[in-house]
Amino acid sequence: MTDESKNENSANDEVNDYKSGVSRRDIMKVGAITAATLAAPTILLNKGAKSMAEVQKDNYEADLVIIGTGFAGIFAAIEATKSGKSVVMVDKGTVGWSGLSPWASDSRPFDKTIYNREEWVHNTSTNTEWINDRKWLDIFLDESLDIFYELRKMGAHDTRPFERSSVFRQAMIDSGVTLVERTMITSLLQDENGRVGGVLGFTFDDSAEPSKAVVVKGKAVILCTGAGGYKSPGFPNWGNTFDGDAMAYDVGAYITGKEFHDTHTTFANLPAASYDGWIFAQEVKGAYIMVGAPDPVHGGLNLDGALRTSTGNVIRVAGVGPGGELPTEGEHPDKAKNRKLYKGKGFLNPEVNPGMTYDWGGPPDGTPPGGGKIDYGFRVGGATAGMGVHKGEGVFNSDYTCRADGVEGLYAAGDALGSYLCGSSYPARGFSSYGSAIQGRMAGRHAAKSIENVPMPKFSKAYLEKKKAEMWAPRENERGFSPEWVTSVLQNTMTPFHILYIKEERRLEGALASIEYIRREIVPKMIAEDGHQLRMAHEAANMLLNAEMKLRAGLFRKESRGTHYREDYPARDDDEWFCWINMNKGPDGEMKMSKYMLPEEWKPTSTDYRKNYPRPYPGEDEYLAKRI
Amino acid sequence: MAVERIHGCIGCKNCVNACPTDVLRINPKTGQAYIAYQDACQICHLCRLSCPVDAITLTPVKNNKPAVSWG
Repeated sequence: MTDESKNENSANDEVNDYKSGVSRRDIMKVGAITAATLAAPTILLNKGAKSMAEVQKDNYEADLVIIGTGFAGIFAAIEATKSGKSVVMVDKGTVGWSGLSPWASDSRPFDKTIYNREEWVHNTSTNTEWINDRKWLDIFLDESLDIFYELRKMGAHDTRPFERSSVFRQAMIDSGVTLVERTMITSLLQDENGRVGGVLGFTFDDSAEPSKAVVVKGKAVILCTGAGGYKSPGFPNWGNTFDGDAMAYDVGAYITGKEFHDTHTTFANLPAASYDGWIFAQEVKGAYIMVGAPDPVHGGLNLDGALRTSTGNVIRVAGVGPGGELPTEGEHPDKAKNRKLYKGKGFLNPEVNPGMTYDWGGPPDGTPPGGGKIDYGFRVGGATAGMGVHKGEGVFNSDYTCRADGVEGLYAAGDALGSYLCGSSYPARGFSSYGSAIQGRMAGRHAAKSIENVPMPKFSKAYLEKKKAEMWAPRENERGFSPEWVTSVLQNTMTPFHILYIKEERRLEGALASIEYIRREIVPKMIAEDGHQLRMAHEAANMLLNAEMKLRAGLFRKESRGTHYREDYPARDDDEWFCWINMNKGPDGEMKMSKYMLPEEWKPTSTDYRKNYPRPYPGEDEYLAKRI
Repeated sequence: MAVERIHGCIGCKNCVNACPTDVLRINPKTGQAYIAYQDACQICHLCRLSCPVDAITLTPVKNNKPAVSWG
C-alpha cells in the first residue's frame, strides 16, 4: 500500500474535466438529476442509506493493474512479472474461482504433428460463419499446445476444475503478485491526458467491517473481467456482468460483437438449476481434452440447435454439451473416427502425457441430467441470456496487441476482449479457456512493453472524490429502486426469445425504448442498503448498458449470421455485412455505431451458398429467392 | 432454497471465497458461514464442492422462478 497523502498532494488540485458526455456513472451521482425533474416515481425507502463521505480508502500501486483472475488474468500476470514488472490483481471473487474459470472443463489444443491445419481453419470458419478473426485463430493454433504444457507444469492437470484455484493461487504467489480480492472495480481512472492509469472500486463484504474504497494506480490496466449475462436463469455466469465493457466504454474504448449470442441451455422444469446438468464435468482431472478439428456443421453452440431444443424438438448435437436426446447405443461415429485417426499420437500419447481424459468427439461422456429421481424436463435455450460468443464480444483491438482501440493505457484479454477468435457462433467445445490464456499472455507482454517510459500517473484529490461519490451514490440515495427490481425488469425486457434470439426491427425498437428509459431515469435512482446491494446496483447498470449495446447492434446488422437471426433479414449478406460492428461513446454521450470491414480473402469461396452456410434459417430460402 | 442449509461449518471460509455471487458470509460472532443473500444463489455448486466437511446442502429450485427465454 502507498501513502495516500503523498500521492494526492503531489498532484495538482484541478478537477479533471477533460471528459465530455454524460457517463453512466455521472448519472448515478447523487443529485445529478433531482427528483423534481423526473417523471419516474421513487418507491422504496433505503433503510441503510448513509453518507459515505468519510469511508476509509485502501491504496495500492504497481506497474500494471489486472482486473480479473481467471485464465486470462493469471497468464497476463505471469507474463508481466517475467519481464520484471510489479502487478496488482483485483477480483470480485478470489483467484481461480473467478468468473467462468472454475467451470472451464474443455480444451482443444492444436498439435501440428498430428492435425491438419487447413481442416481446422476451414471447419472453424464455417462454424463461425467466416467472420472469425483468421489471425487470432492462427495464434491459437500456434500457441494452444504450449498453454497445455504450461498448465501441466503448474499442476492444473492434477486437479479437477473446481480445485484449480489452489494451483492458480500458488502461481500468483510464486510470481510475487499482490492480490486484492472480493473487491468490485467500478471505474477506470484517467490522467489529465485521458490515459488510463488506475482503477477505483470497493469492498462489498461488510459483515465484519464497513465497505472501503479501493484505489489501485498503475501505468496500464489489463481488463480480464470476462463477459457477462443477465443473471437469468441458470448458467453460472452471474458473477460476470460486463463490468470491463462498461468501464472501457466510459473512457472511450470501442466495444464489439454484441449482436451474437451464446446459446447454452437449461431445464424446462428447473430452469435455475442449469449447472446440475454439468456437474459431472467437475469430476474430471485436468478437464476434457477435445480431440480433432471442430465438426464443420454440427459443432459448437449454434442458434438452430438452440431453437430446435427449445421448441421441444430435442436433439443431441455433437459437441453441444449434455442435454436433449440421450446418446444412442454404441459409440458415436465421430468418436470412432477420431480414435482411429489420432489415438496415441502426438500429445495424445499417454506415455507422453499420462492421466489425461480425452473426449474423442460426439456427445460428451458423463451422466445425463435428470437420470435420477428428479424430473428436470427437457432443455430450453437462454441459460446464458445476454452473454455473447466466447472471445467474440468485448473491448475491440485491431492490431493483435490486446490494446483497447480508442484509449491509451488500456488492454483486455479473454472474454473481455472482442477478438472474434470464435466469430459469430462458438465453433466447438474447447476454445475458450486456452483462448483466454493465450490472450492474457499476449496482453501481459504488450502492456509490459508499452510502459517502459511511462511515469506513475497522478490524480487530484478532487477528481478521486468525484469518482468516489459516483461509486457510492446508491448507498446515499434515500429512496428509489432496488437493484433486484431493476435486474428483474431487465430480464423480462431482454431475455424472451422473441427479443434476444429471434429479432425483428419493431420488437428491437420497443425493447430499446424501455432499456433507454431505465438507463436514463431509473439507474440514477437505484438504492443500496449494504455492500452486497451496492455491488448489485453497479452490476445492474453494467448489464443495462450491455442490453442497449445488444439491441443497437441487433438493429444495425441488417442480415442474419451465426447466432444473430433477423426475421426481417433472414439471410447472410456478404456484400453489405462482411464486417464487425463496433460501438463507442460519442462526444454527446450517444452510442455511435460503425462497421469494421473484413479482408476480402476471409470471405467464403464456394459459389454454392449452402456450402458456405450449411445451417439454414427459417424463411431464408424464400427470402433469397426474392432477393435474387 | 438454492443453497439451503449449512450444518457443521468449521469456519474455513472456502465457501465464501468460492461463491461468485456473494451469497455466503462469515458471522463475525460465531466465525461460521451463513447464507446471507440466498436470492443471489445461482446453484453452481462451488460452495458445496469446496467445503471440506460436506456441510452445505443445495436444492435445484429457487423461491423466485427465474425468467426463461422460452415458455
